[in-house]
Amino acid sequence: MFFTLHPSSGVPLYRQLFDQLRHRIVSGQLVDGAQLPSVRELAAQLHLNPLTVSKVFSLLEQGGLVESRRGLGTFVAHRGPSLTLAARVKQLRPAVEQVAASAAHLRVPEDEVRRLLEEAFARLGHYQEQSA
Amino acid sequence: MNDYAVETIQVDRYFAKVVAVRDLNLRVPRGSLCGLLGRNAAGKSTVMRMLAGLIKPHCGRVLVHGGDPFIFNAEQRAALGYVPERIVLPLFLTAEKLIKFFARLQVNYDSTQATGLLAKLEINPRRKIGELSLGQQKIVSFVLAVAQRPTVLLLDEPSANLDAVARRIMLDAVLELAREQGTTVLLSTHILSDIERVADQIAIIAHGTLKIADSLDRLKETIKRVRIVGPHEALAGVVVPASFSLRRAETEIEAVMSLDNEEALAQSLRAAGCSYEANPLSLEDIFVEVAGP
Repeated sequence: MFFTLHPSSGVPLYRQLFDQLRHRIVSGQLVDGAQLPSVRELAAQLHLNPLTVSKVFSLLEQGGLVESRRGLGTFVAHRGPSLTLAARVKQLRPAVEQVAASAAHLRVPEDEVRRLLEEAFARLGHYQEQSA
Repeated sequence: MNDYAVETIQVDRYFAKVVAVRDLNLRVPRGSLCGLLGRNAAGKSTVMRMLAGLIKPHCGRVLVHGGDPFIFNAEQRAALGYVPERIVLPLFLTAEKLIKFFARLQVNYDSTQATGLLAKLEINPRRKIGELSLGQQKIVSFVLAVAQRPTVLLLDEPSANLDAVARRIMLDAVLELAREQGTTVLLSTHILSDIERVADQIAIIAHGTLKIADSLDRLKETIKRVRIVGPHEALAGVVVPASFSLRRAETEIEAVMSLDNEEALAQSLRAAGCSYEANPLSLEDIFVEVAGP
């Protein structure tokens, strides 16, 4: 499994790795039941502190994206997040505000932004089926 | 024993009348990899030497695994790896001889790993230390310390004078120790990109005092460059919370601050009729803000 990480970015490494794994899970690149590498393997491969990787795994687990089976490893289990909707909205808000600001700056009409969003959702068809 | 593998409690240390370290309270949780950052002469090496048990603090206590490293016995000392900033190896010996020597002194000494690492780092173990470059001497010193399989490893500027490939191999060896036996590592460096990849804790010292100590993730998530925008009259009334730096212009304010209570700031700014944006900072930006003048 390959990842692109930027250690000197202002975004913490655990966040970068979490975002990439989450994207692969919700977009269906990693299917339900697929096994993830172990914390040790991934830490060694990415030259990262194992604490960083285990933090990512526990966040994925909290979000209901993976489940760990004792003695066997960590598996994709896309059951939908266990956080409340309000908490999930709070996480999403900065990204949406960024999009709105960019749209205003580039003078892209609101309708056009909505259409783009719909397109992006369509490409994540897998995710929509699951959450429907 | 407590949760900290390395701890300094209200430590003062002078050299003649010059203060090197003052009232230092540093704690490194067991199993964590802590980056010790500071400008030149900030007191990093003094902290390392006290933790290695080479010099005593004048005030306060220095603890490694809950004990005073200054009076460690041979076994406790073997569990404490230390790579000094200035190499202290005998120049007339070869790396090969040194590995044999340590293997005889310490039961758990991993000579196979030492030999393997030297080969990976392209160092001829049969050359005398004095014939190696400074960077290569540093590598030998590092390899000898890692082969001790220590539970606490103190690295004082281990990657100075090394190329990027050698630095990566070195950091991998450190991570391997952390992974395989939960070694606690305290690493001082000027090369922030190294530490940014591997550290989970960061401690920044300036003029011998601790400026900030927190997890790297938390630092990146809370310390932000905040830009406040609003009409001149409204901005004049804005009280900016404690910040590392602050600049005011006609219609904007820029401040680097810890945004751990963002909601409160957002509310007070909204009430004042101003808006703001918060931008993330790299470790280097944070370091310059915290350790700078």
